[in-house]
Amino acid sequence: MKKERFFRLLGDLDDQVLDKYRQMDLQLSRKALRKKRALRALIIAACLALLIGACVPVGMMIAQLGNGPSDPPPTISLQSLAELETMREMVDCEDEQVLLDYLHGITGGGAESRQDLIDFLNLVDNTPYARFIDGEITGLTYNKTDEYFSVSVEADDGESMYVSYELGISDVEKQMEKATRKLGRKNLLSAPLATEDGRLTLYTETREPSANGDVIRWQGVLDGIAVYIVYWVGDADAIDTAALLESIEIVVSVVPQFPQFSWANTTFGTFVENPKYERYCVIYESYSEPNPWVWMNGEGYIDPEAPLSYFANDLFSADIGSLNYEGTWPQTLKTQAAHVYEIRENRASYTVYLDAATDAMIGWEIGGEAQTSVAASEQEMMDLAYAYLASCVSDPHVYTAQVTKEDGYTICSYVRYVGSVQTCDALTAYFDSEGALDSILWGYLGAFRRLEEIPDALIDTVRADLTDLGRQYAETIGIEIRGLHIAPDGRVALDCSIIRPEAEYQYLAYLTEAKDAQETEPVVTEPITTQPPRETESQIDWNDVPEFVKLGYLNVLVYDEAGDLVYRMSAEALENAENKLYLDYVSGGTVVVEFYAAYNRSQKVSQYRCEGYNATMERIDVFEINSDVTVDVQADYYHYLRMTVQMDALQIKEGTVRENGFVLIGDHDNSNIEGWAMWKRLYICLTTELLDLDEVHHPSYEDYLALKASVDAEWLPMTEVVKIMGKPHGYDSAAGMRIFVWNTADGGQVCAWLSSGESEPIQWNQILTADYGNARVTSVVYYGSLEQQ
Amino acid sequence: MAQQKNSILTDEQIIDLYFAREERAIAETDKKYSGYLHTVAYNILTNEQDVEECLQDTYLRTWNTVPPERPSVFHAFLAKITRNLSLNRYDMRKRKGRVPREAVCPMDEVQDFLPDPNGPDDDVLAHTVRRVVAKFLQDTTDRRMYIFVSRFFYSFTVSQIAKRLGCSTSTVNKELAEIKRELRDRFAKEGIGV
Repeated sequence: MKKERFFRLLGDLDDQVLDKYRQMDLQLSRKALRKKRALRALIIAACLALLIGACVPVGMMIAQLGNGPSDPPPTISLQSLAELETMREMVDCEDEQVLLDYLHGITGGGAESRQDLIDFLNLVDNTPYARFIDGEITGLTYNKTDEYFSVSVEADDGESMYVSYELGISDVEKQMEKATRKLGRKNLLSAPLATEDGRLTLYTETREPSANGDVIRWQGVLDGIAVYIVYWVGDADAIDTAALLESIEIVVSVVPQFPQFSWANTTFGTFVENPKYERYCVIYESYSEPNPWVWMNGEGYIDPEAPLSYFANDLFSADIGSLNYEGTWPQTLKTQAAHVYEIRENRASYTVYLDAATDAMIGWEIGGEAQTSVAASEQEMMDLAYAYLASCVSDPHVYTAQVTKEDGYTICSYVRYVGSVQTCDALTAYFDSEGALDSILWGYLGAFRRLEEIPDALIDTVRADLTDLGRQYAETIGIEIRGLHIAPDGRVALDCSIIRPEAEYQYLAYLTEAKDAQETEPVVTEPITTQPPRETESQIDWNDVPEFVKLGYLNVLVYDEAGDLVYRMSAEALENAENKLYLDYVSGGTVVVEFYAAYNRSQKVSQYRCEGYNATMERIDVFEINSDVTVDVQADYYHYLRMTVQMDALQIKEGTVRENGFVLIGDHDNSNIEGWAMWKRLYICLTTELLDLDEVHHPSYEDYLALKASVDAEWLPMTEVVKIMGKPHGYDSAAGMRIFVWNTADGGQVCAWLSSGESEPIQWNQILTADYGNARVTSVVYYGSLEQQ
Repeated sequence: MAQQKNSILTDEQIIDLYFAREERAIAETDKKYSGYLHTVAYNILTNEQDVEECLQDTYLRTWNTVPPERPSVFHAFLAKITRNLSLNRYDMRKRKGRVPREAVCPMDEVQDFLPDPNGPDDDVLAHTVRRVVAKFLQDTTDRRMYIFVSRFFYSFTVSQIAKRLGCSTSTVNKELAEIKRELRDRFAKEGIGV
């Protein structure tokens, strides 16, 4: 047996052995850390004792022994802002083994504990920085022994800068005098030069040629800290130090900061609880002083215990994440609103600004920095991608849109809600590395379609295959698109689920040929049972309910005692693990919470209101949606109003629906379908999409056949399955509601409808009777059997 | 205020993300295990660029494997993938003559207890080797298990192991020699002596 293969075999160890090893490793790491700390404490104590005895040299020797060759070099070093972000996350890591692995992996080996990380982050965040050049941070280093902190920055044009903060020097003035004296005539500064605000003073300067140009070295004082600055520049003759000092900006930290933010000018803000931090993450789009009407997009972290006034001043004093506003945006942004889309490309963060009126792309940024030029080919490709994205998002019903890059493909995709049975569709377009459209997919629940204007034999094949699959599985409830992947051989694979009453199948189809293949590979179908059979009787796994049926968006409006709106925030309530949202507010007044459907943010489905402290929120104008919503408002010791909203997904209690059915909620006046529901899986979706009832009526039943759970179920009297509770917000006597019921056992004919209208106002909380009346529905109805009410 | 400190997901949660085909699974895996996997790969490859690529390959393979597979010990599952991929890359570099002398991969060391190449055919031998090594790790002390896994799974240097155990390198060398001797004996008993 060859040694290589044997060595590989040694890797085939039992999982339990590796788990046991890891536990041991953790214990050993803890033990080593304790030992190290104890040793250091001992050394310090010995030093102190010796110092008292005036034996300083001996004490120093012992101290040196403590940092002897067996100790790691006491340096913490990061190479990028991304690594800094990782460090921020690891500070909160509760898994000790993961933390230890991380600490061991930090360059320099000087990070030994969580506290070391916290100290380092504090140092980075609070050390002032003179921005001589704009560029990428390539080094952040703290040396414990020599007590210096250094920053390295590289600009795109090849210039770079190194700034070292000599933290251990206390008598800074004396140090500068010494440095000036030591340089003598080599010092190019005849007198110290300072910035206008006096924060930075340079005492010495030398210039000499370097490998790629010149290097300028300064020694000076920045906010009382001795600094040593090295500037590698193409041509030093072009640098006038006095002029440079006039133009440079001194910022609070080398980490980019947002400009001063004022809540008073906030037009829109979205708070989400970020479980990664003990603080809130705020993603906001707003205009802010000193640049009114400049849109910003970013995130920051705020102390949840702090009052509102604190937010205003210190909101972005901490980390701001990957996005940053640097101050120069197209003028067009100053006068009109813009759609802002955040795009994730690999791990970089892109933000694209689209003109609200034309959807033209008017700006974009990578990692928070505005992009003014990129390589031509990439620019063309991105333009194409973004233009396509813009065409997608111009559709008012687009829910999400994004551009990603993967294995050389630029992928544009969006999910759109078009109403009625064709509840949502998803489109994904692949552009190859040359920017040419490679393939495109358009799918929706129950079927797949291809955009007519883009012929693609492969997609046709897939469609045909899916059609066959649909026939093969006559009882298929639906097809859920799970994603598109690039296989290792370069093929683009469509991954979806075929949902049937008894099980869910994975369906994998390869849409493009392998990169090395000479001929198009046949579509591969691999139905795999991935889940145990579903219960068919009243056992509904709510985790399976698609995201789009959930309520997911809320507004919190705070009015002062005079009734003026003083605060507004919004949240994607259901995107968080616990669906909780906290608000601290300093004054009384009124708090209103509005819930919106996740699929349509203009669709308000319920509203809560309370006045004053310690008030119980009263639900007003609310539909009985039977979602588990609790709203708790109370004042704490500091008179901050604290509100907790806990909301589960829109749920209909299991057991309330016993048979199959299919319901459309319609607008009689406009012949619009406003929503639909299906028993068993209980898809509920409302939409503002206007569809012609006549057009939808018959074809929709065909769609329903592809979606329904069973065609043989006995149809229950509608009074047993449909009940409306509560009064829609905004409902008045001129409005009404109409519910259509298709009988699944009768060829899909409308067997009943429920409606109300002007002539016969809905008796809320009562069972509706079949009637034609003017109908208008704007929100959710409750479905359940009478026995459960 | 009941704030959650959930910066790192549990293994179960991460695996659930893979099953839900959420690409966040990869980011969460990276967040939790990149340091650990970096060590596994770096000890073999000693090259940052190779290590980074190897980690990306690990995540891709995990994505393609989970589901249907549901790892019982996620870190072990990941470490094995990383180790195998690292060795693939090591072999590739070796073929191109790019393995640096300072590479610490203890591949040569396994010759000390490598079974006789004139023994049974490779597949039978492989099966026997797995069984003998598994039995050895089951029977031996925790300390020896730790040394063996450190050296031959994670490819730590002897001095790194010694430092972790808080003993001298000669102690670890001595114990490694005993481990190799015991393995040789065990292989010999199976008729595949060195």
